[in-house]
Amino acid sequence: MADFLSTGISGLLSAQRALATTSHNISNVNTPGYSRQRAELATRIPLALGSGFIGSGVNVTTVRRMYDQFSVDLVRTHTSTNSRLDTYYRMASQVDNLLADADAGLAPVLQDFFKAVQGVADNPSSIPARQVLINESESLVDRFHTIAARFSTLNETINSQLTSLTGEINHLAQSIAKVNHDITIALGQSGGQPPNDLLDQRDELLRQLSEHISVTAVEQENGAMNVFVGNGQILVLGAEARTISTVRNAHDPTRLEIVAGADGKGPIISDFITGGELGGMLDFRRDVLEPTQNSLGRIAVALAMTVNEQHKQGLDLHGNLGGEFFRLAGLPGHPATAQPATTNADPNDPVVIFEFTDVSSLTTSDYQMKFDGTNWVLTRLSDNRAIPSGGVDADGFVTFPSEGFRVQVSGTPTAGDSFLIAPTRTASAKLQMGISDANQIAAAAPLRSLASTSNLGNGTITSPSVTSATDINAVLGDKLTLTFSQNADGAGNPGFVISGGPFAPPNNVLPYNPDSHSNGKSFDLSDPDGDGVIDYPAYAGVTFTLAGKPLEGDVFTIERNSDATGDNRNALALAGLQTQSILDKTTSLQAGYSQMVSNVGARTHQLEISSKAQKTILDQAIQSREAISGVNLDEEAADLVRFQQLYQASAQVIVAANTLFQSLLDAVRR
Amino acid sequence: MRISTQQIQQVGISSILRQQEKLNHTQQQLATGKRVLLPSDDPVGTSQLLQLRQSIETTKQYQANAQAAVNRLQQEEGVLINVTELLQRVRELAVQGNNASQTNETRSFMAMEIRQQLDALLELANTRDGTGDYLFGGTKGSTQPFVKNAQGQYVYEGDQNQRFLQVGSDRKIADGDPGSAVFQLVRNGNGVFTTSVAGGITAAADEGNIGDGRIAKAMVGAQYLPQLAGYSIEFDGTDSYSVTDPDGNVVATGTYTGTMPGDISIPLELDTDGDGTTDITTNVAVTVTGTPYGTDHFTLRFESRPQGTAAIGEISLNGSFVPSLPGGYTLTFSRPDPDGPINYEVRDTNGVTVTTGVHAANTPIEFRGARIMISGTPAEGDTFSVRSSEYQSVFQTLEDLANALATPVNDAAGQARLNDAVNRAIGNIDLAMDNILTVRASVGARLKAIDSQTYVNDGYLVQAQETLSSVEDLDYAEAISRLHMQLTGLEAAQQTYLKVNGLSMFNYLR
Repeated sequence: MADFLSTGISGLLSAQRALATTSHNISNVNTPGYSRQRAELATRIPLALGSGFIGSGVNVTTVRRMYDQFSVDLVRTHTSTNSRLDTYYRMASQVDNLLADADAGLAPVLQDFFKAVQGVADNPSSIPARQVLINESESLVDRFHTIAARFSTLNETINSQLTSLTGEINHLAQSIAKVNHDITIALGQSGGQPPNDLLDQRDELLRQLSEHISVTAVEQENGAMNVFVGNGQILVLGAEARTISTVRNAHDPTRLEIVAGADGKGPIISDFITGGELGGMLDFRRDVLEPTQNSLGRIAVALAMTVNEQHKQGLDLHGNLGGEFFRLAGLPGHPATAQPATTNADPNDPVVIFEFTDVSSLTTSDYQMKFDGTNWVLTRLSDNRAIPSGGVDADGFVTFPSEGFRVQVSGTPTAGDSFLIAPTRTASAKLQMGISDANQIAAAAPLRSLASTSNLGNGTITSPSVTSATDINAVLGDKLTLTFSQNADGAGNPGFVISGGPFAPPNNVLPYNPDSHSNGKSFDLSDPDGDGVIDYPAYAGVTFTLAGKPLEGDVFTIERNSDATGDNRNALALAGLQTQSILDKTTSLQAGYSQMVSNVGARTHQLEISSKAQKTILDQAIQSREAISGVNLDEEAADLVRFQQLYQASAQVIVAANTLFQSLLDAVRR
Repeated sequence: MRISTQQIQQVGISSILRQQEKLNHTQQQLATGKRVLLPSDDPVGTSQLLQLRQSIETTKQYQANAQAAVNRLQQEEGVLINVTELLQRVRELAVQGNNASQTNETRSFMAMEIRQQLDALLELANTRDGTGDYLFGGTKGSTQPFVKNAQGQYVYEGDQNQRFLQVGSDRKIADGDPGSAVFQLVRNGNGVFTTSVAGGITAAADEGNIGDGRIAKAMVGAQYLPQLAGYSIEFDGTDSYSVTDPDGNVVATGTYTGTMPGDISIPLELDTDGDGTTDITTNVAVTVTGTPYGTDHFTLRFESRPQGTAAIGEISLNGSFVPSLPGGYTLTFSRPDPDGPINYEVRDTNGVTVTTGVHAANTPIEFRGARIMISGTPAEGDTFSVRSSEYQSVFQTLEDLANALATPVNDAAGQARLNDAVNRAIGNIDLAMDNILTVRASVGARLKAIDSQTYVNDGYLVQAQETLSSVEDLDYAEAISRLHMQLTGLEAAQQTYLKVNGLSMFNYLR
C-alpha cells in the first residue's frame, strides 16, 4: 500500500517534470537555436519479494536535448558558405548594377568621343566641331572618374565592413568563451547532467559566428568548445577568447587586411579566410573589384596612350605638332611612382618608377618588385610568376616587353625591400585632359607632298603618312625634293634622287622603274634604297607611294604641312583607333569594356545561381536539424495531454491508496 | 520526418518571398520593356548589346559623314558643270576668232569677252563650301586657291591633298578634288606633246667689221625660249658681250668663253618679267667661221617666228612619242633657194638631227611618234618647238587666247601666228574640258559609291536594330503570361500559408 502510494507519487512527480519540459518546449518554440527537450522516464528499481519483483514507479532520469551533432555541424558549415556567397553576390550585384545602366557606363561616352573625332574629321576647320570634341573628351574623362569613384566607394565599404565584422567576431568569440566557462562549471555542479540551454546557446553563438567567418569547432572533454579560424588560428580556447583585427596593406594603404591578433599585430590571414561575410568581402575584393578596377584602368591607359601617340603625329590649327591629348602618370615621359612597402628597411630610400611602353602587352595584373639582396625581381601577382626582363634600355629603364612597361630603380635597397606596381589600378581615377583649346586639336597630318607643276610625265605621289617617326621634328624640319632620273643610281638604274634632309649618297636614291612600277611602289624614307637596311632611323614610318610614269627631271617634294586647315588625315587616324585592336592586340577599347561588363555580369550571374543553390542546401540542413531538434506544437499539445493524463492517473493512484488506507483504518477502529 | 512548427512557417514565408521576387523581376521587365535589366541577367547578351550599340552608333556616324561628303561633292559637281559650259562658250569664241572674216575689232571684242569669262572662271575656282572653306583649295581650306600674282600669272596657293571621309567601316571617300587637279594640272598640246612657235635667231656680222667672220650657227641652250623675242646680243671678237632688251636698254654685260673662229658660249641670265628674279638661265652657243678681226662686232637678234605664213595645224600621235628631255625637239625650216623646195630639219634637245626632209603642203611631218601638220608656207628660219606636254592652267590657256585675239593682225604672217595660237588654245581648251569631264566622272562615281555604301549602311542599321531588339527587348506576350502564372503562384502560396498555419491542435484543447 505504502509502496503504491510512493509509486503514485513518483508518477505525479514525473508527470510534473515532463509537463515542465513540455511547457519549456512550448515557450521556446520561436527561440533561435533552441533544441527541444524531453524528460526521459524510466522505471524505478523494483522491490524484490518472494513472489517476484514488484515495480516501484517511474523516475525522470534526465532531461535530454534532442540533438544531432552532425546536423548542427552541417548547418554551421553551410551557413558559412551561404553567407559568403550571399555577401559576394550582393557586392558583385552593386558593380553589376553600376555597369548595367546604358547611359551611366563607359560605352556611350566612349562612343560620343569617337563620334566627335569623326565630326572633326568631317570638318577639320570648324571650331564648333573641335569644341565638341574637347567637351566630349572631358565627359569621357569625367565618366572614368565617376566609375573609379564608385569603385573606390565600394572599396571603402569593404574596409569599414571588415572593421565592423572583426569587431563582431571578437564579441562573439568572447561570448563563446563565457558560455564555455559556464558549461564547464554547470557540468561539474550537476554531476554530469547536460546544461542543455547553455549548450544550445553556444551552438547558436557558433552559428552566428559562422555567418561572419568560417570556423572549425572542436569539443573538449570538459565540455568546452575550442574554435579556430583561417588556417588554424585560435579564436576561442576554453574560457579564453583571442582577437582578430585589421591592418592596412603594406603596399596599398587603401585596403585593409585581417590579422590574427589585436591592434593590427600578428600574421596576416586574409588569404586563408574562406567563408562567412568576411570571406565573401575578401573574395569580392580580390576576384571582382580589383580586376574590374584594373580592366577599366587598362582601358584608360590604352585610350590615353594610343590617342596621345596618334595626336602627337598631327598638326594643330596653329601649325604646331599635336601635344598630349590626355595626361596620365605612367605615360611615356611621365613616369609613375610605385608604392613602397611600409615594411621596407632603412635607409628606405629606393624609388621605383615605371612607364608604359606597349599597351597591347599590358595586363590587368598587379606586380611586386622585390630586392632579394642582389637582384630586383618582378613578380606578376595574378599568377605569382617571376617576369624575365628584356634588359636595360637606352634611358636606363629595365624593360619588361611581355608586360608592356619598363621600370627604373634608384637608391640603396636592402634585401627584402619591395614595391607594388599596380600599373592600371588608379589609371581611370587619374586620367586628365591634356589640352583645353579647340585649336590645339591636331587634325592635320604633318607632311604633304607636291608634284611640281612643270612635271612632264604623269607620275603621281600619295600624301605621305607618318606612323611612327621617331624624331618627327627632324622630319618636319626637312624639305625633301625627289627628282626623277633614268640614271639615278648609276647608268640604267632609274629612280628618284632625294635632296634635302640627311639623305646622302649612296643611300639617297629611291629606285623606281616607270615601266614596271607604274602601278605604284611604296617607300619608307628610313630605307630609301629599299635594301632592307635602315639608313635613316628618324624617318621610320614616313611612307608614301609613287606611281605612274615620270619623265626625266620630274620633281616631287615632301614638306611640312602648313595652313592645311581642311586636312583631316590625323583626325581620321584618331577615329580609326575606335576599331583598332589595341588591347592584347585583339580587342578594341569598346570591346575591352564590353568584355569587362560581361565578365562582371557572368560572375554575378554565376554567384546568383550558386548563392540560391547554397540557400537551398542550407535550408535542407536546417530542415534536417529541425526534424530532430525543432519544436512541433502539435506534438507538444499531445504531450501536454499525455502527461496531464499521467498526472491525473497518478493522482487517482494516490486516491486509491488513500481509500485503501482509510478502509484499513476503518477496520481497525471498530 | 518531423516537421517543426517554425519550419512550417519558414517554408510558407520563404515560398511567398521567392514568388514575390520573381514577380518583381517580371514587373520591372514589363515596366521597362527590356528583357535584360542587368548584365548578370545575360552576360553574353550584354556584351553583344554593347557591341551592337557601338556599331549602330558608328554606322550612323558613317551616314552623317556620307551626307557631308555628298553635300560637298554635289556642290563641286555644280561648279564643274558651270565650268564646262563656260569653257564651251570660250571654245566657240575661239573657233569664231580663227575665222579669216574677223577683223581686228571683232577679235578685240572677243578677247574682252574671254577676259570676262576668265574672271568668272576664277570666281568659280575660288568657290567656298557651306562652311566657308574653299572648295578647290585641297586641304588648305582657308587659303584662296587661285590668285593672279603681280606678274600676271595664275598661281595655285592650295595643296594637292584630298580630304577623305569615312563612309563605311573600311571605306573612305574623297569629298572633293584639289584645284590643282581640276584647273591647273592640265596637259597642253595633245596631252602627250605640244608645239609652240619657237622663234629664231638672226645673226649678223656688223657692217664695219674688218675680218670675214661669219656666224654659221646660233642656238639658245637646248631650245629656243619664246620670252627672248625682241632681245639682242652684241658681242665682239675678243670676249665681251652685252644684252639689249626689246626697249633698247642694255640689261646685261659679261664675258663669254671660247675663241673665234670656232664655238663660243655666251651665258645668259635674264629677268624677263621684271619681278627682280632671274627667269632665264641658259647659254647661247654660237659657231663662228672665217677669221674675225679683234674689234669686229656681231649681233644676234631673237625673233618671234614664224615670219612666213606657216602655222601648226593638227598634231597627233604616230605610235608612241619618244620624249627628248629636257628641251624637246626643234623643227626648223630652211629654203636655201628662194624658189626651191622648203627643207625641214628636226633636232633633239642636244642638237642632234633626228630627221630631215622636204616640206610639202598637206603632208604631215613625222618623227619619233609625233605627226605634225603644217599649214601655210614656212619661211627661211621658221622654227617650231615640239615638246612633251606640259601642265598649263586653264586660266593661262584663256589668258593666252585672249592675248592672241587682242593682238592686231596686219599681214599674212600675223594671221598665221594668230591661227597657230588659236589652234593651240582650242586644243588646250579641249584638254581642259576633258580633264574636267574626268573629274566630273570621278565625282559622279564617288557619289554613286557613297549612295551604294549608304544603302549598305541602311541595311546594316535595320538588321542591327533587329538583332539589338531581339537580344534586348522583352517578348510581351511571354512576359504577360509569365506574370499571370506568377500572380497565381503567389496567391496560392499566401492561401496555403494561412490555411496551414491556421491548423493547431491547441484549437481543440478546451
